[in-house]
Amino acid sequence: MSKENFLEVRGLKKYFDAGRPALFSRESRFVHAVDDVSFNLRRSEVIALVGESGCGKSTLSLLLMGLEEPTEGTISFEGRDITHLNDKERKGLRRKIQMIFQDPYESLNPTQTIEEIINEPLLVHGIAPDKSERDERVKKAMEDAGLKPAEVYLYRFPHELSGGQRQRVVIAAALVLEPEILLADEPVSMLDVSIRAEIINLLAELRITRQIAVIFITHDLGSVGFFADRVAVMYLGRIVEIGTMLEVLEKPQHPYTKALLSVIPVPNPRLRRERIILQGETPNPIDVPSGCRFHPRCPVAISTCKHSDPPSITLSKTHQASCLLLVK
Amino acid sequence: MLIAVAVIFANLLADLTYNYLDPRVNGVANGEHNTGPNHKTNGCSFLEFWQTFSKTVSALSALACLPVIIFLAIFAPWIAPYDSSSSAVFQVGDIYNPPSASHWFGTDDAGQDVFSNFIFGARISLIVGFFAAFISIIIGGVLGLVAGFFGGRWENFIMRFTDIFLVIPDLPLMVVIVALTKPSLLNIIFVIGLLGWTTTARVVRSQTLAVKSRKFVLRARAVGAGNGHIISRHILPLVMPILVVQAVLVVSLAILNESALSFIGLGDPTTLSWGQMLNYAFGRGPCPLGMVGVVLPRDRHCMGGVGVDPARAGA
Ligand SMILES: Nc1ncnc2c1ncn2[C@@H]1O[C@H](COP(=O)(O)OP(=O)(O)OP(=O)(O)O)[C@@H](O)[C@H]1O
Ligand SMILES: [Mg+2]
Repeated sequence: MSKENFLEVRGLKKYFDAGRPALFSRESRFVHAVDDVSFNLRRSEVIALVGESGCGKSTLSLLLMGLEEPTEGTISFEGRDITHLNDKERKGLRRKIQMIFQDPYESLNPTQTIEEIINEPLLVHGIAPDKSERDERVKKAMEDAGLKPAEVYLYRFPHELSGGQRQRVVIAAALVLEPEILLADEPVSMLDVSIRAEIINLLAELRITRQIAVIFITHDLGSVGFFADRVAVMYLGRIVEIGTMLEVLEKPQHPYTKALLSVIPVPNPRLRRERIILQGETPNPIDVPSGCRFHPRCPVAISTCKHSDPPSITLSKTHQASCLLLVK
Repeated sequence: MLIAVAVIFANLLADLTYNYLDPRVNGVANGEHNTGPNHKTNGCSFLEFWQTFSKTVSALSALACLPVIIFLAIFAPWIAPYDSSSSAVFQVGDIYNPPSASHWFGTDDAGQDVFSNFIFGARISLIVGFFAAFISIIIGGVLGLVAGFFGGRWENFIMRFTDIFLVIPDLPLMVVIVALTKPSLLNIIFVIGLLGWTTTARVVRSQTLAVKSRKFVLRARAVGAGNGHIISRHILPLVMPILVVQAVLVVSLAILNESALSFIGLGDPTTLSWGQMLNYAFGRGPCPLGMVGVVLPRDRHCMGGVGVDPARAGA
C-alpha cells in the first residue's frame, strides 16, 4: 500500500437544509458547511486544519467520522471507499479512526466514572473480554494521556476533574481503541492558555510514540505551527491553501492565509509584519459569494474575482492555493 | 381529612423535587452554552436542593408524613387497635360513637373503629397507588424514550397518540370503564394505570430530547456504541431523576383517582380504601368528625394542583 492513499478525501460536500427563505417560496436553501474539500492524509502525519469559526471544520471532522452523511464526494481509507457504510462496517472502522471533541465539559457523561468512560469503547467493541486485561489497557491509555497515576482518577466523576484533565480523559477514551487516525476538533479551544501547550505537547508525543496520524483542527494558526507537518487553511467550507508547515507559515500565497498570519502576535518586534485587518464579516454560508468566495473581504481582489471561481493552483509538489492572482 | 393532608403533602414533595430539578433540566437543554469550569455538578445541586428544602416547613413535614403512611400501611395489623375485617357482634350503642379514648376517630355505622379502618385503608390506597403508578410509569417511560430517542415517524405517531389520551378527561372515562367491567381491585389498578401515563410520556420525551443532543452522546456514537448501549448507559441515567419525580406525582394522582372512583361507588366492594370509607360515610349517614365536609373541597383542590403542576413544569 502506498503511503499516499492512507486517508483520501475527494470533492467532499455537506449541505445542510436551511429551510425555505419564505413560506411560499419553492426552492429551499442550503448551508454550504463543507463545499468541495479534497486532501489526503499520510500515515502518522499531522495536518493542522485552520479556519475561522463557522467555516465548516467540525462538520468536516464529523463527515470523516461517519457521524454525518456527506452530500457528495468520497472518503477512502487504506484504498477502501468508506463514504457510505452499514452499521457493522462503520463500527469496525471506529477502531481505526477516533475523535476528540471540542468541548471537554460537554463530552463526558456526568453520571459515569472515569473508569467507566474509558472502559466503554472496549466493552462496546468486545475487545479484551478478560476484565484484568481491560483494566490494563484502560490504565495504559490513561497514563499515555497523562493521567498519572491512573488509580487516582479511576473512580472519580467528570465534575471532579479540571478542564485539562477532562480533555485527557477524552483523549484516553479515544486512545484505548489504539486508533490509526485521531481527529482533534479544537481540543484546546475551551482550555486555559497554560494547559493548551500541555495538551498539544501530549498529542505531539502520541504521534511519535504511537505513530498516530492526527488532523488537528484549530482556529489559531499560531498554536500549531511547531508540530504539524502540513497546514490546510479553510475558508467558508473550502480549503483555500494547503502546504507543508514551512511553506504555509513562511511563504503564504493566499491573501486569506496572509491575513491570518499577519495578526499572530510575534515576540520579536523587528519581525513583526504589517497587520492585514480583513474588511467585513464572514459571509453567510447560505449565500456563498459568487466567483471567489473570499473576494468581498479580499484586500487585493481584482474585478475578475467577482465572477470567476479560482482553481487550485499548484505552487510546488506539496503546496497548493486557490487564488486568481496566482494564475500565471 | 388525613387523606387530604397526605395528598397535599405528597404534592408538595413532588413540587419541591420539581423545583430542584428544574434548573438541571434547563441546564441540560442549554447544555451547549452552559460551559466553563463552574459547570453545575450533581453533588452540588443536591446540596442546594437540600438547603432550600430543609428551610421549608411544609416540605419537611411532607417528608416526615410519607414514611409514616407507608409504615402504617405495612404494619397495619399491629398498629390498628381493632381488627377491621372482623364482623364482631356489636350493640346499638357502638355505632356512630363520637371520638373517645378507645375509638380515636369514633365508630361508623357498623360499629367499627374508624381509626383502624383508616389504617387498613392506607394499605389498599397505597397498593392501588403504587401498582397503577408502576404501570403508568413503565408505559409513559417507554413511549417517551422511544419517541424522544428515535424521533421521526415514530415520534409523531406516539405523540399524537399521547395527545389524544391527554385530551380525554381521565375520570369520566375511568368511571365508564370501571362501570362496564367488574369493579375489582385489579381492574381499578389497570384502568388507572393505563390512563395515567400521558404526562410521563411527555416529560420523558422532552428530557430524552435534551439529553440526546448533548455532546457525550455523540462521543459515545463516535466510540462505536449502538442505540441500545446509548439508551441504557447515557440516556436513562439522566432521565431517571425526572422519572422518579414523575413517579411520586403519579402515585399521588393514582391514590386520588382510586379515592374518587371508590367515593362514587365504583371501588372494589370487598376492600376498604380511603375513598370507600368516604363513600360509606357519605352514603350511610352522618360521618364522625364531619370528614366529608372537610375532605371534599380539599380533594378537588388537590386534583387541580396535581393536574397543573406537571403541566407547568413539564412544558
Ligand atoms: N446540523 C446542522 N444543521 C444546519 N447547519 C449546520 C449544522 N451543523 C453545522 N451547521 C452550519 O454549518 C456551518 C459550519 O459549522 P461548523 O460547526 O462545522 O463550523 P466550525 O468551523 O467547526 O466552527 P467553530 O470554530 O465555531 O467550531 C455553520 O454555518 C453552521 O451553522
Ligand atoms: Mg467546531
